Amino acid sequence: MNAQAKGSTLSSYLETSFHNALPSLLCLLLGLVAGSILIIICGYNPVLVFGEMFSGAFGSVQGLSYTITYISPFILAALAFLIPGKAGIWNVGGQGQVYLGGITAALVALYIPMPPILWPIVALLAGAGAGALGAALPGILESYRNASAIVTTIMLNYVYAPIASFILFFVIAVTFPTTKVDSQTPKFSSAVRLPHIPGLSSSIMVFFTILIAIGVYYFLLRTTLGYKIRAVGLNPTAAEMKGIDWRKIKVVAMMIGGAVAGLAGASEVLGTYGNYVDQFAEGYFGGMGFAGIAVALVGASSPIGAIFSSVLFAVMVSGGPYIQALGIPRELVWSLQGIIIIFASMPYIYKVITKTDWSRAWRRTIVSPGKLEGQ
Amino acid sequence: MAASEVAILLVLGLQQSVTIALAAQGELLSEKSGVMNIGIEGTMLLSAFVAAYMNWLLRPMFGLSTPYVALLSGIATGMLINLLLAVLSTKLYVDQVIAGIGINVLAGGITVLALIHIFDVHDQTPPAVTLPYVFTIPGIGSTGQVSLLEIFAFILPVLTYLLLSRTKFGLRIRAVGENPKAGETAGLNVVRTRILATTLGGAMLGMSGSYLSIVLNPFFVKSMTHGLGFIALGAVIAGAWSSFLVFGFSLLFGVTFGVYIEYGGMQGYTYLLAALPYLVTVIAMALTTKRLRPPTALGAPYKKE
Repeated sequence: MNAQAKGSTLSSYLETSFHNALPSLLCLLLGLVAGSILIIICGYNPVLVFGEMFSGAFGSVQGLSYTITYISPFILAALAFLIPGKAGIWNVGGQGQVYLGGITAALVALYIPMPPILWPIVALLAGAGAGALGAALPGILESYRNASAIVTTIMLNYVYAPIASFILFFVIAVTFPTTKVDSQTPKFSSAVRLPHIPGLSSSIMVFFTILIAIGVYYFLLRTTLGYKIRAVGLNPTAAEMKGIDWRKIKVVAMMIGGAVAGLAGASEVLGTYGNYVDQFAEGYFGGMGFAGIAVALVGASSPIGAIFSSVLFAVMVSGGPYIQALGIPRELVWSLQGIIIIFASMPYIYKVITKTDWSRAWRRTIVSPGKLEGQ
Repeated sequence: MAASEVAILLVLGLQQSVTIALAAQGELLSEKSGVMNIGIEGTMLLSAFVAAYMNWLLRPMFGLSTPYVALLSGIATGMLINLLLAVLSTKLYVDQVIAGIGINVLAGGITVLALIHIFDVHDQTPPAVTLPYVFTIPGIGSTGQVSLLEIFAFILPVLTYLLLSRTKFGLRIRAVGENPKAGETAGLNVVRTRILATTLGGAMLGMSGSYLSIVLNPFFVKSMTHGLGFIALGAVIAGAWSSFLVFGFSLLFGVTFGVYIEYGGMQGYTYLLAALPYLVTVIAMALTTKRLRPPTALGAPYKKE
């Protein structure tokens, strides 16, 4: 697979097809229509299901807490996919990187005591570092060994997850024997756990996450490195002519994505759970890393869009138990997520429906040629 | 370890190899034509479910020959999904990777949904009768039973080799996978060739999924493909898109996976064993892709000008 050709396909796809709210709203609409048909086939009333999902997710303090709790990992997992995507490299390995971040944060929280404020910060950063290292490997393999990251990141999901479980059961379990029986570590010291939002049971991480998303938006648009990442994604050959080392930039973009995924794992472990639970990232229907891809695509591959679409996905997941109370399986949400991803893969359809080439309109407003030349 | 234990372990490994080998040859066919199915895992899972469901549902109607009908329905499922993917990617320029990821997520959810809706259970279908065996490897009891699918898995690489390198249709598949534009100029129908090759590959994915749910097990268990599809994807790459090498890697990965299943769970260092087939794939890719040449047009939609 020619890395350069591949790169330009992915990022031009991301840049041109989705940087507009309309196609992603259409894709969402089609996804919900298809989901409704599925609900009707199962013998339920789609209006009732979505209504219950929505009122469950916002109707009570507990429901609202769940919704807010899910927003943060969804945004971070989405960023983990879309930052490397901007450089034209596929990170389908968010799932594995989340585990690396989570287990590393758990090790810091269990074995390296520190002063109160510093401790969680170091634990989060350690998690991000582990995620970055985990993502560097497929990045290097794609840039320098021509091994497609699509495949290596998927494979490494199945390598990193067992490594995390191995550390849990054979390293942590040595000093904390209950770990083996419970498949989770004891609760961490409250000095390292992230505090909750007053009145809710969700951690304060969500505020930082939204700041990170906004920061990533400006990073991609306004900084030199962000510009280089987008330039490599749009056209590696042209970038190289401008003196940008596209190989290095791809690895760097991958590491930033991995760091964000690691942060997602670390903040879940330190905030939402307060301890390390084996296979914690599976409980998001199809896995946190894969949910992030859906969030990123519906969010028009934009960090700001991801904030909005993460709310939607959080509602679907946190509303799950409430539709289950009606006797409707919550796995419906899982299928719905898959349907939305499939619809997100068809930018051409939206072009046909709207009769407009949205890509061009976007290009003019955001990465106009003048701006590219000027930097 | 006694000799019979080694033999049983080897046969268990070979059974995993059969799943991987069938899927890998199917993926090889579609990749040769330029269509990459990342949704191989989901395709297998859906086929496995449909085969198990039909095996249970049609029992009163077909009696003893039910497993064969179930196998056909599993194959049809694989073909249908790949046909859909091929049509979408050639006619509607769908992004194959994203569509594939969607298929995987959807398959995971919808099979559990169907389990709940049809059987009112969360994990597995009621047991049915498995595909009859043709002969038995002596000395290792019921583990040594060999069915048609296992025999076919060992013949299949020869068939795909002959198809790809000795027939006109195979030449066309390779042509549209390497250089669709040149193929079009030479009078080939790129879209039709890709759809045919991918659908044929889908039959093998369906066989692979059905093998799990009506041969290896008499029922469907949720997420029962547990990564075997991705291993097959790795075998295609590590095997450098050559039928026999791909088969060789399928055997290797299958035996590794068999060891993990036999000694899996929480005893000792098996967690790391679980990672082994995937790690071997990554290492093989790291060592060989500089020299590997995948089909040039792999994953890229073809647009007529």
